[in-house]
Amino acid sequence: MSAITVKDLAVSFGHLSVLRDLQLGVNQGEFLVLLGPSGCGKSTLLNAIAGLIEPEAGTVEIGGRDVTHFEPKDRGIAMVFQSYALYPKMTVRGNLAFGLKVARLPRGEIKRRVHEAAEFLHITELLDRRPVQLSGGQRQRVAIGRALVRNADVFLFDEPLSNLDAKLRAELRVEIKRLHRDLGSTMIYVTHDQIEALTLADRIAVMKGGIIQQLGTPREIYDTPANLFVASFIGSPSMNFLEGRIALEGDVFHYRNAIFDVPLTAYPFARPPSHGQPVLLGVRPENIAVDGAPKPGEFCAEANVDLVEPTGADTVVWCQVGTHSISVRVDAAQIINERQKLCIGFDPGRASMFDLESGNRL
Amino acid sequence: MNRATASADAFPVRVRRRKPLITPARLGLYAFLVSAALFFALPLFIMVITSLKTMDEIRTGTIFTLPMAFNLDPWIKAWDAACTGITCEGIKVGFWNSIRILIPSVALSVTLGALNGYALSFWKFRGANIAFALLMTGAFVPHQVYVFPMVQISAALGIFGTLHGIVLVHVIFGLPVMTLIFRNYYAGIPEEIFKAARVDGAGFWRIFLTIMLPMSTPIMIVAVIWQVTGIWNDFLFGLIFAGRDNLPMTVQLNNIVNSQFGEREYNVNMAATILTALVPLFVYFVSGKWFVRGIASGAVKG
Repeated sequence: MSAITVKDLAVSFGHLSVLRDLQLGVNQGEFLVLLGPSGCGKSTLLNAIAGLIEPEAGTVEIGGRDVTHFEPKDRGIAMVFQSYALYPKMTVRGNLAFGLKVARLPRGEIKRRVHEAAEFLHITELLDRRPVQLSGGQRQRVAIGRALVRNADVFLFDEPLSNLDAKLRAELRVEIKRLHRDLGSTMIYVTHDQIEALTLADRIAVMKGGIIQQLGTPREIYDTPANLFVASFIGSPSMNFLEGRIALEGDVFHYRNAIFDVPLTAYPFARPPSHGQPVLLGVRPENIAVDGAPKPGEFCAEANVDLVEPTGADTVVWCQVGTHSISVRVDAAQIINERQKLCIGFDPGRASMFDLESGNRL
Repeated sequence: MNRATASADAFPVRVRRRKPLITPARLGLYAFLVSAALFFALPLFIMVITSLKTMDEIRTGTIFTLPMAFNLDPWIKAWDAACTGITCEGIKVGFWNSIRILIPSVALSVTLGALNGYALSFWKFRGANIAFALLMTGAFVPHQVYVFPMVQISAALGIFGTLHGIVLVHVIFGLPVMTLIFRNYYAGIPEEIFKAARVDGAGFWRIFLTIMLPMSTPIMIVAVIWQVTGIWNDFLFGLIFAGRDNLPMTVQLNNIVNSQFGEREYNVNMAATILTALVPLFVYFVSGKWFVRGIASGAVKG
């Protein structure tokens, strides 16, 4: 059974339609990440699930109940916000207890739950402080604690780490992952950071223009992007795209342009292409091999090294192939110099082929 | 040569020279400030010394000289025995009237303004913008325009010329500016705090009372100062709506100054005027710092 089902959801602000006919199912205990650039509707979708935005049409079901017209508090959800959204005039204890007091829980129960959440998040010694006296990381811990005490079935995160510096972000990311493992609750997490998405998610929904472009595991999203947008949004440096055409020789499809002529026997076509069809070939920087690592003789293109960027663990080499600028990720141990000439090739089985016109994967 | 000394040579430590304390620009600045202070302080000074003189001394025409004897009689007379029309009970009657008008008017207009501002910034109901625009016309259209209709309405309600009538008028005319002030303040509070409270299950009143109001201290102070001085200094509404028994201090002052028989008692008039101005002056002296701080501060700090 799905923990959350969104059907035909439509949301608009005035005349601006943000979401249309959106469908989404989230499984029990799943960690789903909504990923996309700003303005893609991911936060709107989360707010609609939370009940903070009234949808124009469609339904939201949580735990099998239709909650479309329920107040946020009655949906069995807890939420963590980007700006922490702590109540500034209350102590940390007051912040954690607020929702429980509103729900008129007995005092002992409130005390116990606040204590447990504080213990779990290592903020027990901060309980009597005010939010202004906390650092950004501590504030976000408190915000997570405030969600935790609600014993909710579903956790919603709205870019919870975006206001933190890089080091803290990485720390808290691990902690959120641990939280999910220990609680086993269903979580929906909105972010524009692909690293957060890839590291945390069971499944990722990549969004753009109010539409879910692709819904799949991080591996699927990364290795077999459904269209050009997903392919270029995920990955850093981003996928290399080369224009060309499909050519049929005998019964073998070839990808062909001025420089490359690649037989596509190993490429798993989703739908059969046609002869002469204009396409974009996408290949990730780490899937490009330098100097004959793919079976030599298959193909090899001459490349002029333009720039070398060592990143520590590996090195990104920017080179010029004909008129194309291509990035290649190589092992840090491999010594490559600027203005050097290389022979580069790739495994067509790990590349992606997109229709030039529609941008969809072939 | 190593790197450290190289950079030290490239950026030699600059010897900081002390700026001279007196420059022509600074002299000009002080000259301006002193003359401005004199311009505003001189009338006050003359009022204070005149109020302490006897009429005999005033008649000599030495307006700038200090009083020969420290004479508090004009103050006592102004407070307790000056004539306002037929009665001669001093300005204290007006003072207590003003207090009785002031306290409910300020309390109600500030509370309702805060509530309005809160509702308009967070609970965006259908037509909220139109409601706000209509309210704003109340802030910018001159109040005299509304006087006649208000007289009709309050007469129809049976509260014309009563304490309730004048309080209602002050609350109504205070609302637009109070709403504007609070709405703008609440617009600076992150909406996520409001959303978090809703997820926590709090409703309209609980969010207002337990989360928004405690965050509103700085703007509350601004609003209270604004209303206290505005309502205390009001003359027109008090004259029209308060009724003969509730005339505020400003109206009583006018009666004292303008309706005396025989010789004009300048010393009593000056004392009565200072007494009337004392409340707003006191409010500014005590809370001027808070006023600036409230206007300049954001919502989420502290």
